[in-house]
Amino acid sequence: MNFTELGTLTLAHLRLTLTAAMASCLLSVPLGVLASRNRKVSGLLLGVSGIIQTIPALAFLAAMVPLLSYLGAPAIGTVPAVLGLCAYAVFPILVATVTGIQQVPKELQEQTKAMGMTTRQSLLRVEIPLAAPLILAGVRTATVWTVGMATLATPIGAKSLGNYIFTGLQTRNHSLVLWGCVTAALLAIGLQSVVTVAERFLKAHKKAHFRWVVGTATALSLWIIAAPLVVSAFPKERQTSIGTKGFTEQLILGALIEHSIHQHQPKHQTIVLESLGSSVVFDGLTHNAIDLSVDYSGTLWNMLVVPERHKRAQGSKPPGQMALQGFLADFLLKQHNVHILAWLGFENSYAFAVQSDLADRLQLNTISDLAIHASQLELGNDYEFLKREVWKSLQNTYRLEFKATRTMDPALMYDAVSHGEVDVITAFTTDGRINTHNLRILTDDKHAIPAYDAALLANGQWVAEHPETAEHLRTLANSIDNHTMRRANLWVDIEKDTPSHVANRLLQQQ
Amino acid sequence: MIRYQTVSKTFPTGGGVRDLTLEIPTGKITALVGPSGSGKSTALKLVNGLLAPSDGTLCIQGIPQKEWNPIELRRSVGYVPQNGALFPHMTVLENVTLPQEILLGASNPRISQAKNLPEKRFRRATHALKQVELDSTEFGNRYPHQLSGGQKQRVAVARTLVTDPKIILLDEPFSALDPLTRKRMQILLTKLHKELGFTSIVVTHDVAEAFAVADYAAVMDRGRLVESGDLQSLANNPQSAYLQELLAHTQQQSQHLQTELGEP
Repeated sequence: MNFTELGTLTLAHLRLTLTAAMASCLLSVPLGVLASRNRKVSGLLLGVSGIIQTIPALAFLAAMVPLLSYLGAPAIGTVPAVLGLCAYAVFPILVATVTGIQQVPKELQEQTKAMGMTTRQSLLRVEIPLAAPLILAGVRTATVWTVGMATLATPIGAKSLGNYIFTGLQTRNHSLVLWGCVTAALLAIGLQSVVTVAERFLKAHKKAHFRWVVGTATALSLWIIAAPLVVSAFPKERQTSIGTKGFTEQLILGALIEHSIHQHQPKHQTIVLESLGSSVVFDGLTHNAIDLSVDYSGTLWNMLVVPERHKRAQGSKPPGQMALQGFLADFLLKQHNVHILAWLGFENSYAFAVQSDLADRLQLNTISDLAIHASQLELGNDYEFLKREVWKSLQNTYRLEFKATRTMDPALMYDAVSHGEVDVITAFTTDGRINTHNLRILTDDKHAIPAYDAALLANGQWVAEHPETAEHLRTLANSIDNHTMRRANLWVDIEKDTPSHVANRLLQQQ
Repeated sequence: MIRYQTVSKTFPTGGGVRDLTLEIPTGKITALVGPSGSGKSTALKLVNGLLAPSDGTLCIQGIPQKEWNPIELRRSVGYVPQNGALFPHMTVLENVTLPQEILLGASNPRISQAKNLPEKRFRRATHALKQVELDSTEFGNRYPHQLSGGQKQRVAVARTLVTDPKIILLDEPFSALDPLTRKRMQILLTKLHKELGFTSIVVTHDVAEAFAVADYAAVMDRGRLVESGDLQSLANNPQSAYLQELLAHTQQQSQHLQTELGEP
């Protein structure tokens, strides 16, 4: 266990939680006060914040990314994470404030009026203090929720304890998942007990103690939130940020790029944003939030070119492998100011994989063979497959109809097919588990699947600022073939080596 | 000082006061007597602007209620409700100091800033507690839930005294207390009135209480004034059937009590 990393991630997690929780308090208590005075306002606010609660947390956080990039704000990292978490935490505090103020006994409300208090005096002197125990309970709930939800900030580029959980899930390292969960739980218990202590003092009318706890907690929180901002206020060289998607190969390649830069320039500041959503990575690249990433020619074609062609009612069949590379290099630079620094030399394509025994029994070698038996077979697919262009293309070319389809995490697909829970899976051709799980890849005999050559991408501004580093990275061209990549994935997925260590091994082999 | 001229206050749900014309004598205690739902509490809450008249004019110190700045009006009128309405999150001393504190920062403070320093406020609050016969060293740091019913009402009275109001309104102030405590509170109120000479309206459903504390009385029934005047003449020569019945009932009760105790 790397304790520096644990410290960094815990602190980052704490910072996210505290910023979101405090911002949410500052927002919800005044809104709650306003709502308690007006039935229409309270209906509206409780309705809206209640609806936010019903949106799955991960989806809500992910929705912050396109929203912010549309508004021209930083779309990746802390900003969307804090905004999303903050909006989510409004509901419990808002409800507590409204309820707390509305339950102040009527005769006390009348007494504040009869004494000649202004609305403000009545709120500050009587209503809010009397509602405080309930408001604090709401804050406690919101804080605990936020600690849990902050683990979901990883896919949108904010470091948190979620990095352990997502990386662990993807690399099938369960102790890493457990580690992330336990640390987050401890953090939640710690923060909750601070609020509970404050609540106890309040109930026991120990005002001085109460003020001391709240004051110290607030000061400490502000310091934790503000310290890195102060540090970053001093001018320093901009960090080069490397964005990776969630799966093993991407984690290895992210580390490989970082190590390669450090080999060339040891003092170059880099940061790896791990386990980002697929579209988040490219969005980040075009909005200068991410400088370097690895993507695949077929993915880029389907994501960027096909929708445009469909709009213009043009055919969307991809050109051959080399033609596609040439086309994308030109297209990305002109349309998105993104450079292809290097084609890495391997291809990570979608492919149908079946258990060897089953393949032998049904004599399956090609997708055409599969199409004959598909109506009796069940497909296990990753989250995105059924929505992808490649699936439409496969269906059109081979007239494929499966008996059923089951969506599952890519990390679980391989076990599912080797245990016979599904018959066919949408495998990735570089996955090491194709060898270890004794699977057979079916040949795309009618060429329905585009080439998925791995490309090292860089945003144009970064290339202009770091021409020398960019030149160095170009030497990675054709440095990894399919066999090497599959073996590297195997080291992480099966042999439980770390992506960073595997990346070093790859670099040393060159 | 307080004059109702054909004042009405109606509620959509019924009740309230209809066509009330009444002058409250300055410097005296006036009892508003009547059964529940007679409109006596409504008549009281019109004075400090907790309610606004639907019709007619109510003058306080010669100025119609509608023309008063409501906050100014309420700050110059003391108000003691039935249960005291002490703030449960404040100590006795904090409750009693509060009326002076809310004057701070007021645009037109009745008490000048110099008179409203923390130690002055503390001294005034301690004095007010002494006026209601509570020892501030013993009770000052207690919370309302640590007080008996009578002590709560004493604190509520002390809280109105700290701003030296010329008018004090009491709404069924002693109704929830046991008979002995009620008697003591009635004596306290008359003693304070003798010392300070404020004008006061006491709402009560109990004729005996009216006799114990008030100089004048106004009898109300179903939102209307039945009769009013000084208490002795009302008692000797009741005009309305309602008051006659009420007095007879009270007399019966006290005779009944005396026979039971074996007194002549």
